[in-house]
Amino acid sequence: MKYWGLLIGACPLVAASCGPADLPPTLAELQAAYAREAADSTALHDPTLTIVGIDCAGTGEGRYLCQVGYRSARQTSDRVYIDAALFTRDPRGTWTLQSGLCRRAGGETG
Amino acid sequence: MLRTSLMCGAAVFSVAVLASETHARTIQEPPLFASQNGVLDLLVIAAPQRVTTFTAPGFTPIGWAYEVCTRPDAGNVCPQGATGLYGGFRLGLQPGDLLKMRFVNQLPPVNPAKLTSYVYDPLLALNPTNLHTHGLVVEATANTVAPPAVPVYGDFIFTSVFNPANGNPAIYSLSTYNTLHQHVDVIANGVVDYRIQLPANHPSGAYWLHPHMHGNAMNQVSAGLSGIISVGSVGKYACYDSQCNSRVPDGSVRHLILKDMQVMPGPNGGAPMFQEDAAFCQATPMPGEAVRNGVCAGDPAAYPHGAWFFSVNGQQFPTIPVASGDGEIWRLQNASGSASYDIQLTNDQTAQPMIMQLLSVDGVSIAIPPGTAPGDIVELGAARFHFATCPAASTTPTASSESPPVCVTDLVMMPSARAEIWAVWRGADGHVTSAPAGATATLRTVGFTTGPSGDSWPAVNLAKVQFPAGHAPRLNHGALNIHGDALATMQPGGLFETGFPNTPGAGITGCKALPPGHHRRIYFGNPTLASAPNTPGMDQYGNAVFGLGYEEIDQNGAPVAGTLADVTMFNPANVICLPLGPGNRPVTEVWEIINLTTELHNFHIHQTKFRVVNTTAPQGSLLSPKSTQGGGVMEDNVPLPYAVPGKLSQAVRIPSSGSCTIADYKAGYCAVTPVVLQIPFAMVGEFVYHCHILDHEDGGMMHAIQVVPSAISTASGR
Repeated sequence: MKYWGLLIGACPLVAASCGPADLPPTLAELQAAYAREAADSTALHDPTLTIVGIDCAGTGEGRYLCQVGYRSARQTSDRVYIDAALFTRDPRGTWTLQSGLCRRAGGETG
Repeated sequence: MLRTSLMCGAAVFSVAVLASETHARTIQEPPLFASQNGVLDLLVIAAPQRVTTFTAPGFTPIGWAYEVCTRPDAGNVCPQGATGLYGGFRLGLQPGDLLKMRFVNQLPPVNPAKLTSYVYDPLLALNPTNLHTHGLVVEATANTVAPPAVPVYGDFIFTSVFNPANGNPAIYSLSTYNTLHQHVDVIANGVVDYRIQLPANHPSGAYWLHPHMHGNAMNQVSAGLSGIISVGSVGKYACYDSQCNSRVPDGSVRHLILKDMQVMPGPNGGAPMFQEDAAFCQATPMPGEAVRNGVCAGDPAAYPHGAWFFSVNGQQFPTIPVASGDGEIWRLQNASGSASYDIQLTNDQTAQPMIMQLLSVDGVSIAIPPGTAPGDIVELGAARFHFATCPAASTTPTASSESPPVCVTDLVMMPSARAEIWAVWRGADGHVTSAPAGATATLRTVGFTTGPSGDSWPAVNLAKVQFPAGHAPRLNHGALNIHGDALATMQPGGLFETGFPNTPGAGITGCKALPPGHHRRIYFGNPTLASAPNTPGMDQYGNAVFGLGYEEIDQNGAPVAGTLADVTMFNPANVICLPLGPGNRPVTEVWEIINLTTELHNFHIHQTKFRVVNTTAPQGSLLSPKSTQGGGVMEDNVPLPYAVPGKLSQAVRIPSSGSCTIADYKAGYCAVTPVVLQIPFAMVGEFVYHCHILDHEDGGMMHAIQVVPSAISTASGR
C-alpha cells in the first residue's frame, strides 16, 4: 500500500533478536506486555482486559502481528473481542505492544 | 444531498447517444442456494468480478461481487465455476433454518480518491468489509470464540474483516488505527464465520444480504456486493382463490434485484465510480437523447462519455417473459447504494401505468383488516406507494380473516426497499384478462427527487415485459387472496408476540426500559462539527456531513430533562440500551422520527420491523400506537418527509447547511412532519438504526442500539 507511510519503523533495536531462537510470543507474554503499557497509556487502557487467545505470525526483526482475542470485565457477556495487534521483542526477550488492543493515540510510538 | 459535489454547474447535456445492442436478453433468475434439512452452509467470498452483462460497447468494468458455493470440507476456495455474479444470488431459507456462512474478504484496496470517508479513516482504503442480513429478525450476537479459532458472529455489524493481501491494519500509525478499531472487532486475516438462526415463526418473504462497513458501505454496495435472501414459501400467504384451495406456487415467483453502477470509459472495460453522483446524467432524457434502456449517458461536462447502468439481476434492459396467464409474483429489491426509484409497469400500447396488486413490503406480507379506510391504507404506506382502486371490488374477500386487496400504480423504492407485486396482464378497465398478441409493458423508474437539498434520480427503462398471448387466467378474478404475516407476527405464537423466550444472558445494570407512556424521538439532521463551526452541515474538507439526535419524551409530550443529545455524526460509543420484557418477551416502543433536513432520508433499523402509526388516531384504529391488533404494513425502511424551514431557521440563514437545528424546531422556526413508528424489539444484540441512503450512513447518519435480555425471568416477576 502506498497510501500511508509506515510510521512504525523497522525498530533496529530489536534486530538482534531475529534468529533461530526468535519464538513467537505466548499468551502470557502478551498479557504481560499489555499490562506493561498501562504506565504510559491513557485512561483508555483497560485493566480488566484478559487475553483469551492469540494467533501470531512473525514479520521479521522480532515483530509479530497477532490476532488477539480478549474479554473485558467491563462487559458482562461472554463476548470475545478480536483485535489485530503488533508486538515487538527486544534483545532481552521482553515483548512490547506497539499497536492494537484499544491502545489509543496517547501512547503512540510512531 | 451527496457528500461530495462532483457535478459542474449549468452543464449542457449534449444529445449523447449511448449505443447498446438492440436485442434484449432474457432475464436470468439469480442462482439459488437452498437450505437442506434446516441448514444452509456456504462459503461466501467478496472479490473483484468483471461485469459482462452491460450491452453498451466498451463497458465491461470490474465490480465487486460475492462468489458463493456450498462450503467445501476444507479450505476457503470455491470450486472453479462457482457462482460469482454481479447480478447477485439468492439464499433460499425456511423459517427455523440455520444460515452458516464462512466469509472471506478478497477485495482489492480502494483508491482514496474514490472514498469520501478516507479523510476520517484512512484504513478504509484497505477495503475492510463484513456482512449484514438486511431485514431478517434474528439476533445480533457478538463473537464468543477465541483465536486461533475463526470468530463467529450472528447478524453483527461491529466487525471489520480485512483482506491480508492489502496489508495488516496494525502496522499503520496508531492515530489512524485507533479511529478504526474503537469498539469494532478487527479481523486481519480475512476470514470470519456467520451463524444466523432464524426463528421458527419468521415471516416469509424477501430479504437481502449486503456489506455494512461504516465508511465504505456505499462503495461496496455500489460495486455490486449484494444478494437476495428468501424465507419460506409464497403459498404460505398468497392464494388464487378465496378459500385458499389453490395456493400460489413458488415457481411463479421472480426475484428482481435492481443495481446501478456509474462507469467512466477507459481501458480494461471502464472505471466504476463507487461514490455515486445523482447528477451523473440528467433526471429526464433530453430531446433527441437515446432511449434510456438500462443506461443513461453521463453529463458531457462532468462525466464525458460515461454511462450509468441500471440493471435487473445484473443485466442491462433484459426481457422478462411472463410465463403464465395467471401472471407472476415479482419481488423487487432496490440494491442501490444511494439511488431511489419510482417504479411503474407501463403498458406499451396505452403508455399508461398498469395496476399492480401489492402483496408484501420489506419481506412481510400485508394484512389490511376488512373495512380499513382508504386513507388509513395510504398512511400505512408512508409515501412508499401510489395507491389505486383494485378492480376486484366485486370479488373482495368476505371472510373476516382475509385482507382486502391493495393495488398500486407506483412503487417508491428508496435504497434497501423491497416490494412484492402480482404482475399480470390487465385490460383497459384494470381487470385481469388474457393478453392480446404482442402485449408488452416496460418496467421503468420514472425518476424521483428527494427534496430541495436532495437529489434527482433519473428516469430509466429497466426491462421489457412480454405477456403470453391468449393465455386465459385459470382463475378469473381480480386479486390474489393474501393472509399476511403483518398480522400473524403480532398474534399469539407470532414472532413479535412470543419472541425468543429462551434467550440466554442477564440484564445489564443501567439498561432500563422506557417508562410507560414515554417514547423516543430521533432527529435526522446535518450537524455542525467542532472542526468546522462556521459551516454547518459540512466538514472542514467541504464534504457534507450527516447525523442523528435523540430525546426522550414523557407521557404528556414533554421532553425528559437531561435526555437531549444534539445531532452528531455516528459514534459507536453512544448507545441506546433497552431490555426485553419479563421472560424475555418482546418489548414494543414508539419512536417519533423527525427529519430536520430539506431532503428525504430513509429510516432503517436492524433486527426488527415496524408499523407506521398516528398519535391522533382513535384507540380502536389500526393506526393507533396503542393498538394491540397489529397488522397492516410492516416495514424495515421508511421515507422521512423533509422539513420546510422558516426564514429564521438555519436552513434559510445558511442554505448550504441543508438542515434546521433542533433549536429551530423547538422555537417553531422549522415545520416538520414526524413519522411515528411502533417498533417491537424481540431480538437481543448490538445493532444500529440509520439512513439507508448509504452515502448518508457513511457520512454519519447512524446510531448504535443494544437490546439485552431481561433481568426479570418470568412475566410474574423475579
